[in-house]
Amino acid sequence: MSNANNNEEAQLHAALADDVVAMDETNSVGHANEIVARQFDAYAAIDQGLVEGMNRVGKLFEQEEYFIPELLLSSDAMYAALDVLKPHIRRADGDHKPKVVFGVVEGDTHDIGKNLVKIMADSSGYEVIDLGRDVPPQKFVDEAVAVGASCIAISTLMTTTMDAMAEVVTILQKLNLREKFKVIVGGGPISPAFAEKIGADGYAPSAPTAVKLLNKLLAPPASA
Amino acid sequence: MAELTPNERARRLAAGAGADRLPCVPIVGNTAARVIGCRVRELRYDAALLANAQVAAYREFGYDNIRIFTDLYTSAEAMGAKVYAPADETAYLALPAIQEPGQIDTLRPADPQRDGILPLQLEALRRALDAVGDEVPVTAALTGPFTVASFLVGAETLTRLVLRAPSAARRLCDVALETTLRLAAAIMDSGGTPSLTDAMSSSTVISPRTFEQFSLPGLRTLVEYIHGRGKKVTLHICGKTQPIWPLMVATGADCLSLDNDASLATAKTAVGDRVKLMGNVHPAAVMLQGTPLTVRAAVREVVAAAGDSPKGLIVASGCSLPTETPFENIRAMLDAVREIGFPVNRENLPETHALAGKIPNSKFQVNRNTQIPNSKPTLNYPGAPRHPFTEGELAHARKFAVREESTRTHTNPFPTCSRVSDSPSVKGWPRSGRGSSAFDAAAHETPNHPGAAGEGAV
Repeated sequence: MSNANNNEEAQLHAALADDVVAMDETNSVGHANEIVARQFDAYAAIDQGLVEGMNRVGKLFEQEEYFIPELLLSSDAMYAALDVLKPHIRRADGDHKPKVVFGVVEGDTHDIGKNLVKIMADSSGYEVIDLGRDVPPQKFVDEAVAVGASCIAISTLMTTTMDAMAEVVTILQKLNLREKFKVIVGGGPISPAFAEKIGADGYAPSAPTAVKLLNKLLAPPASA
Repeated sequence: MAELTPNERARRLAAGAGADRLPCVPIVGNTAARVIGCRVRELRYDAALLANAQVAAYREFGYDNIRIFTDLYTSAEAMGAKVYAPADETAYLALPAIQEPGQIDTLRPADPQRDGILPLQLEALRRALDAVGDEVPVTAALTGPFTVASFLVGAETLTRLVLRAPSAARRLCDVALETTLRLAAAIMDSGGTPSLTDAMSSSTVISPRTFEQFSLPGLRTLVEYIHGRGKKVTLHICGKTQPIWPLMVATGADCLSLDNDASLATAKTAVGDRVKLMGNVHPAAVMLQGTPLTVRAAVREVVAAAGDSPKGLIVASGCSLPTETPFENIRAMLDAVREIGFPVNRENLPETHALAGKIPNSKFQVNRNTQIPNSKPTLNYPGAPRHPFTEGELAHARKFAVREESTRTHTNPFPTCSRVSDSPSVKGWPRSGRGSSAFDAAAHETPNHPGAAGEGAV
């Protein structure tokens, strides 16, 4: 591949990252199509374009430059381009993304927070299994076992459902499975002290820090 | 000094006549069910029971304000949203009123005398006022228009709309505002005071700029209307709020109720000379999971941080208490405030420097030396604002917008906001309150699912 080509590919990566940061779905799809048309590597475009863009969005979110609406629209732009690129990934580099089972605990239907963490984890090299909201404690465990997950991530926004989080840990202990999975918790009423009290492995106060926590607890994803 | 009634205490403090202690409001919501031994859901569908529970909780703990509240969804429900009420837990939103933004124009403002459980809330308010209104202020929770709008179309959809289709978002906020204005009128017709609570307007969720464009106009209209009827009003916003304190002041609210994410010491410096502050003992980590000792320590930190705030302090929980908050912790909160007394004896309180590390280092830091000019310009919102705010505050508020602008690489997605109160539906809002000629409430189902009750904390 010529230097000129390399340069153009790099420019497209930068453009994709900018599109994600700019919440521009039309342009991100356009640039993704260009990657495909020019037969540039789709995986590199995801990693150096879309993921790089979401990383920047995550930083802006942490710095309180971006808020939830901005993060959601950036992720829309990211997913739209991802849909274009995914079919063109050349599968060779083994599929060893750590799996994380996500859900909002039973009794709670607020899922914005969980969705944000999911988006950030998804774009950081984790395979996300999303159980949705109002998830019974037993289902977290069953799913984690079924898919061979590395981690169970539980979210709640309500104080009334915090006990159900503890129950996930209790079930794991009863089944002698506690050592098999990391358990992380988060959400409005959750504190580090609560996480410790119920025997979770960690707590994160925001979506970007949840991903950092995953990175810390699990072997870093292959792409990192 | 013998223990005053809350009304006497409030009157004396307002007159500068001294009192026995600072006002104290552990924000008791569905914990009231535990006081009278009923299920949380029963409160939602039985006005007499709701009033009894709230009055009993007030008598049990002796705090300074009763708030009729079951959950945040009553206004949205009255406009067609579906609420699920578990037998013994706070109710939650099961389904927004509309499933897609295209249906916004089918929404109609609610009739507080008829729709959903609003009539029950009003009846509970009247019953509580009859029972103890002469000794304690009785308020009724009024969910803010932006938050109601989020329940009408779904929070995620609304957050997308504010950036992608601002005019649709504005129409949605307008119709939500009309419902909240009608409910505010009905609450005051019943003799009570609306207590504004606006979870989704938090800086944990939306940017200060989105707040300025979509939350502030409706809140201003509401506060102005409430002031027009001679009542003062508290504005509660959960989560992070520091970036929007000046804008919260710009709503005209008399008191800001801040969550535990806020530093009261910083709030005192930033806006304490304009509004009373209320807050902010952690509802979960301290009130629910703590002990009387940790509650006492937290109360003393709150008073050390803002007990000398120029417009006053109400010692409170940061948000509604979780239902299962131990009674002994609620008592400990009141006891700690009694022990501190009034005027606040700072000698017994934690050193200010001990608190320094706990004040988050915010980039929205307010300059203590800012000179407040004598002239008091106002925002451009129509209607004569009763509480104009200063250039300094305006400049502070605009700083966010400027900063956002300069750091964004893309075109500004926010068109100039057309003010909500320009809309014909709000202009000429009848001061008498009960309904208007434009009233055209859709036939909403009354909830036929079994009853419930809710948490203010979002």
